[in-house]
Amino acid sequence: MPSPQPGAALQIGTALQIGTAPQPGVPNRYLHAVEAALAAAAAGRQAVSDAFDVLFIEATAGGWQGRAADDWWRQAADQRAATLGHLEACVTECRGLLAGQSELVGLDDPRARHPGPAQAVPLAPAGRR
Amino acid sequence: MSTSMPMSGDRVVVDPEALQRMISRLGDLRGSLQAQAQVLAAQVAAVPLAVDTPNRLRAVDTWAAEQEARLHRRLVLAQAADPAVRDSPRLVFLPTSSDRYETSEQASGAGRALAEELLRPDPNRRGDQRVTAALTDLGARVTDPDFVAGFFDRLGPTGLARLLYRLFVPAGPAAQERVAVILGRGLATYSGVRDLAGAWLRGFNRAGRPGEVETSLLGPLLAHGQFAPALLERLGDLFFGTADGSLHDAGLRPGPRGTAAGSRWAAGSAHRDYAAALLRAIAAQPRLAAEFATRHLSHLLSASHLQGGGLPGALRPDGDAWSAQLEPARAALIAAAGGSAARHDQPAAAREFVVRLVEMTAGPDSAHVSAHMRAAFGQVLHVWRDDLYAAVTSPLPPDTSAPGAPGLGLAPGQWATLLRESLRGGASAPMLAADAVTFAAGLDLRAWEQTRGYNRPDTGYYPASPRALAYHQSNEVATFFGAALTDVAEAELRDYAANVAQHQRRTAVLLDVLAETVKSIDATSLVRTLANLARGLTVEIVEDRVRRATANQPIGPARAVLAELRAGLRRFPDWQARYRASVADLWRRRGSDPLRPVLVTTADGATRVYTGDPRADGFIAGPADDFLGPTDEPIAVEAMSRGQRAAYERWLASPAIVANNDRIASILGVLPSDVVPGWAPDWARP
Repeated sequence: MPSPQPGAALQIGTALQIGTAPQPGVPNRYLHAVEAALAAAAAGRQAVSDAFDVLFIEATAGGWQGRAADDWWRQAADQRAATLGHLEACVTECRGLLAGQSELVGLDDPRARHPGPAQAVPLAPAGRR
Repeated sequence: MSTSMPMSGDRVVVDPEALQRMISRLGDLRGSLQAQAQVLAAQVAAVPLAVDTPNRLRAVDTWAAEQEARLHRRLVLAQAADPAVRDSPRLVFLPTSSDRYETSEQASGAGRALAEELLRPDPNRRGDQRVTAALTDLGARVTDPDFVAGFFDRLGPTGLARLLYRLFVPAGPAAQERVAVILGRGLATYSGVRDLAGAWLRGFNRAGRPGEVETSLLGPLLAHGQFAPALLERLGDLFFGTADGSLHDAGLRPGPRGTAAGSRWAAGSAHRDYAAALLRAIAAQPRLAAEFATRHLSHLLSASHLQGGGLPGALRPDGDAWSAQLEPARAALIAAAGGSAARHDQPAAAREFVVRLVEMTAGPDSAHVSAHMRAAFGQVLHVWRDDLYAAVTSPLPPDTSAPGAPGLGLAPGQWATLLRESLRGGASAPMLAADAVTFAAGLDLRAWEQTRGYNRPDTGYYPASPRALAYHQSNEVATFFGAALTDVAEAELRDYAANVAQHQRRTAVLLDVLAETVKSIDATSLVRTLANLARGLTVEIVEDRVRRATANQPIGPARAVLAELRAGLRRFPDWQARYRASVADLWRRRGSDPLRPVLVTTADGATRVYTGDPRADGFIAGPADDFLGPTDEPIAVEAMSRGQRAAYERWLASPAIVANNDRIASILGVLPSDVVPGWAPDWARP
């Protein structure tokens, strides 16, 4: 069996476990991948929320006032809400995927052959594009 | 700050520093978005998620990038709206037209396109119409640095020179005032965003010959904006012939068909107009004026000496740099270099300028200057009044090692030369008299405040009033000014008999002005004196009075007033050294003749005791200002540091030292205070 591609992961939901006899377990790499995605989404939500907060604190310091500034403020607030909403949805979805997943799976289980969490990605230095 | 206001909603407040911080926070947000998108994209790649969060984060980053560019442009626009207040904490500007460009690139692209339109022939529109339309567009955007940069970058120095020639030469710049304003303001903005002092200036001529600068074409523009100091400085050096040899001031070259024929804009007068505008533009920049004027001071004064009427025409040097037409502009530059704005913005450069000016005017080979220059000297003396009179009233010799000290390290005699030269013009006399009276009144007031209550009912006998030195210093100020004034009057009178009628009229008018000034001084009231003095006297008013004066205007009454002033002056030659010696004696003999303490009431109602001991009285706080040598006597003034001098000077003028000094009457000519000799209360007994 070829190793499952990311797209194929949908087929390896919790339903596969039902009715199967306990087998000597191996780590559920799929579970680890979802956990890593959840952690990344949660950390991202915090980091982006903080960055928007710092920006808004500076924006209230009166650096720029006027009609266009008010418009900008509304626009930025919308962007913040939409972005954090997306990250929140990502967190929720990851939590949904985790439900019912066990730590160990059988040797034949496709989740044992899942590629697992991505290697650590070097972060761009803060404040740089 | 700025201009007309289309509607109240367009009012914009910008705090440059805060907006800059906001822009950098936006940059931080972008950094965070990019980092999170990268991490998340890697982690969700193998996880089946319905939401594409990394993509969403990238979209927000794109939005933030646009906002960053927009905010940056707002900042640039706000700063460009009035460069003079660039350093102020808050800018309020009212955009005269909506900002139709979102980013700097868009704005400079539009400016470039406008120049392109101007350069490319259009078969459907006449050249003049095209130029008029393009300049109208430029006129709405002259404070937009991005737009202006695009426009002038595309036009280039040669393109601009050709355009200016085409606009100004047929009927002269006066007929094209609007064009001069638009291009002047635009070029001023441009000079703030590009360095025009180098390659650009080298290319500024119609023929494209490197280094031949057709400066006259800039003349009509220079009055209409704040040009970059580097450009003005380079042009100034070029005009005075001190720039490096790579540039040549070509003035205004004749056109291809020998033009200028029939033009009202002759090359000679165009160049002189340019030079006057240039000197005034430099004068208007406090950060440049002092340093530039110091560098060219010798030339500026020599040129003015020629106007003062020295050399016969045949011996006068050629060249517009010596032209009489430039004299008001030269004087404006001198006044600005020593003016209050320069003093505030560039204190060290302004100080150096004033020191050089005083030294050169007091020099052995200095000659008389023009009436305009004399008025400028008056303005400089007005701004440096406290230094002038600090030199006159200090009991110490001038501190030549510290030009920053009060008095600028100059001797009273040196200041007197500048004062006399200024008074000779007449126009500044009332203002300078007001300065002297105000300073003297200030001395009296301070002395009174510092010794309030010294003569309470239980006070003992003091050889002198603790205010005696201040009274004497006030008298020194009056004498110094009065002596300068009578010196000027007498010098004029000496010339009077020998001169032709025209000069006699001038002398008569000047004597009149000086006598009026003297009569205005009311020794009993500062307020009345200031009210009496006609402080608004100008060079033009004096010249007008000279013109209207009759051939034989009587000078008798004025002479009488001035003679009376001369007779009333009380001079005490070399009082400073004699006073210091008397204090040294007083201090040396304190064992056998103890100093009586002086009690004064301070501003907050407390009592302060002065004992005469510089340590006990707080004048010496540590080794840095300890002016007493190993023998506990003041060391030589010349050997004192600045801190020691300052402490020594304060001690010399302190109440106990002045009040116990029984030689004051003979040195300074003031009478001892009237008290009962020999009697003293307990606290005053040493």
